[in-house]
Amino acid sequence: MKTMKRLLTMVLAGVMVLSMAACGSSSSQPSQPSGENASAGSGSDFPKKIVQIIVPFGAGGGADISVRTLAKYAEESLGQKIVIQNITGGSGTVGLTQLAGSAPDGYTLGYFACTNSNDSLLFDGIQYGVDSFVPVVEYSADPHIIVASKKSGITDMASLVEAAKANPGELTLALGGAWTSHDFLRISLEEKEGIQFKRMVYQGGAEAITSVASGDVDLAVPFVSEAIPQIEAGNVVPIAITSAERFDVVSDIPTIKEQGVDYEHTMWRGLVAPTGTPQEIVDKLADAFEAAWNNPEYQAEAKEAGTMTEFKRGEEFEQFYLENHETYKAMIESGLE
Amino acid sequence: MENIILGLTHVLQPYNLLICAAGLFVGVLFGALPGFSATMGVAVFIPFTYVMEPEAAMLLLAGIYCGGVYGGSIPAVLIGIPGTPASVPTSMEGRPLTKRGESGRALAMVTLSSCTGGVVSAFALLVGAPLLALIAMKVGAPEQMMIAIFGLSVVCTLSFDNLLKGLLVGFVSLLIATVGQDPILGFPRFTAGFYQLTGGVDAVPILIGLFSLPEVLKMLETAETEKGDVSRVSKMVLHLKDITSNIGNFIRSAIIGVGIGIIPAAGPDIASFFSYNEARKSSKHPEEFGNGSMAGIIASETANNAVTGGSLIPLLTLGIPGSAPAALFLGAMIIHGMRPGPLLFTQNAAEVYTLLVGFIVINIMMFFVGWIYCKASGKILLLPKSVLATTIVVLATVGAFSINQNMWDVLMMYVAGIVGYIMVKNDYPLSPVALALLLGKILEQGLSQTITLYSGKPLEVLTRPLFVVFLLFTIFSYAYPFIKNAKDKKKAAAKED
Repeated sequence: MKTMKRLLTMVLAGVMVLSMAACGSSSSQPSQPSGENASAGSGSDFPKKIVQIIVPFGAGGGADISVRTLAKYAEESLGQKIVIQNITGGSGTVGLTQLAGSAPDGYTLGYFACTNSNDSLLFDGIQYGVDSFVPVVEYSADPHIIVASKKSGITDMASLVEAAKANPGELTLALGGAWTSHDFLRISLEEKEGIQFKRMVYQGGAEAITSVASGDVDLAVPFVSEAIPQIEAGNVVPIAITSAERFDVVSDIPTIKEQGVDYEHTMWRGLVAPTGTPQEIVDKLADAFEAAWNNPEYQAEAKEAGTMTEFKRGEEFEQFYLENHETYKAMIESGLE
Repeated sequence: MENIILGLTHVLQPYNLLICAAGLFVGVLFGALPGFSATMGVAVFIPFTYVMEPEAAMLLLAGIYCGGVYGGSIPAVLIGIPGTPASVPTSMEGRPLTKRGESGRALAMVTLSSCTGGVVSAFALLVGAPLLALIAMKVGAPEQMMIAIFGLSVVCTLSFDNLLKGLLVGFVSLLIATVGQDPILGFPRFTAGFYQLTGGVDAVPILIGLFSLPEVLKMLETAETEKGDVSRVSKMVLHLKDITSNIGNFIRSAIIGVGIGIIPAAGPDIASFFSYNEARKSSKHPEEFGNGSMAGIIASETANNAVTGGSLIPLLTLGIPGSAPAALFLGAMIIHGMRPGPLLFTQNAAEVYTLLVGFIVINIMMFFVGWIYCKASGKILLLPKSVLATTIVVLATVGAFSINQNMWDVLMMYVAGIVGYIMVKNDYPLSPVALALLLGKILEQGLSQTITLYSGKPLEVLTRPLFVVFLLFTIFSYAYPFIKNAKDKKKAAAKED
């Protein structure tokens, strides 16, 4: 009895220390770099300590898994540990706000996806914008798979467009969330083809494709990893993949382009640093992530998780970052009308 | 069958058994500390599982999950502070029993009920997963909406004597649940310019504050006058009569738990409220509820642990997580190259069946781990109130912060705690807040999806068999108090004659 009590006390103390350590690292880290800012300015000896990446979404989610996979391989080429901080809440805006306010010394990076530079248009009280961040690397671009319910009778892009034109605004489309990549796919596809869908908004792509599998909804546009199980089980009809080229894991699904429609849409994921981070350090970071990205083991692991790997850095990514901002801005503004 | 034996041989390896036990010890601790939860335990340990064998990783997380759901009821019984929201009904019954010096009897029953619920759900998962998956697929937006409406009827039960105050609290909490992004259009509403509210009011920090701080403040009121209101920890004993008179209750509660688990978005918290409500309705002694009813404890504890297995059914078969910890499981499975979906059971048979068989073993093991914890934790009743109160405040603060690593949540936790104290002082019930915050989002989303699906043809929604079943339940649930009232009056009148 006595030993048991002692054991329990020890376990309790252990958990407390663990949790304190977890909290301590996140609250003390942002303040530390500012002190060493002067020496970090030159960047020649970067990195001298742990680099942290803020992921504004929960552990175990798509964003988190994609960053962790890359970071695991980047540690080696960077020569430092990389710690992932899941700072969540406010639909991802809390973590990015913290990133925008972090010291621009290269020790704090953040996960960034196609819609984030326009968050201030979508939400109230957002202080950061397209100018608050320096793009470091883009490391993946995930395609969607358009799927239809068996009931709907849709089998390819031609019959999809035909059905949509025959019943304007009646064909239901299940989305994984409002203002997500799913929703932007809908906006751009509607514009491209001059059609109109009826939006059905779910919490996540898995819920969306299940509603198609059960026949409640006609169409959905889940990501590859969400779509594969239901396609393999034969519960939904795959129509097309939205990338420019076919994807290894589901190589028998044709692209939209192959079906005569000049359209593509992917959700890119990248890493950014706060504005003001010295170019030399950004380059060093980009080198490390590029080396990790080129590792065949990383490529295999990312494919297994259903992400299509694409890499951009330097001027190419900077230009893409700005163009992407304008594209999404235009879509949001057309959606707001 | 072959697969089950294969799974069994994996689970019974000493290393894997050790992992199960380790998961349970960690899980119960996370559940038992106010402010900490099963979800948090799973989240903290997910990075560790990345480097483990897939089977061991799944077993560790399953142990933490089951242990966490169970652990919340230990402080609920002893100090009236539920370790997790799923133990709120337990705290309403367990605390009075502790005050009467029967904490041992209550804790023993909590442990037995939790294991029973867990084992039943583990068998449901092992034997019925493919069949139950068909039901899970039939649960669409209209069904979810109906369940939320049904669930809100529980507010009436939780309000006990003061229906008006209970309804008022429920109504205001439903309004609070609408803060944040509109689920369909995606624009933020009622955020008053705070970007932190874009994703809505996070229920977890609110519930931590609401259920722990008022108890702490109450302790402080009498901190100097009394040492503690319980001077002795009673022996852990199971009374045979408590079990035999509640067989039906056990069965009903386990079925409710598994059922709620299957439904995406509804977790152990909602299950324990539902089950508690049903137990009270069918009890021969409804007046005991709120004053230390054993039946209430059994209902709440059996149901919340029965969710654990149930919530893995939509996860494994459809890739839809049925609760927050199940969502973390999904991430862990993908990292290990398993893709939940209709084909998982054939493609990854070894891993899946190890998890399924392991679930049964874990829930049986939980009885012993739980017993050890209960025996040890009884001592906290003897702690001076000043020490206990300080510890709880620290735990609640750390807990609220660690969910999102976000100071805003800590602020929300304290605001909720102070509001909660004012409510308690003025006899406003706290439980309807939990129910409304948890169900509000499901209700709103289900409602707007149903309207989109059936616009212009509202009667067609009646062609959905499950919807009709839930509709009938709901109508009965709302009409029941009136029917009972009328019956009682008749009886009273007959007696007078």
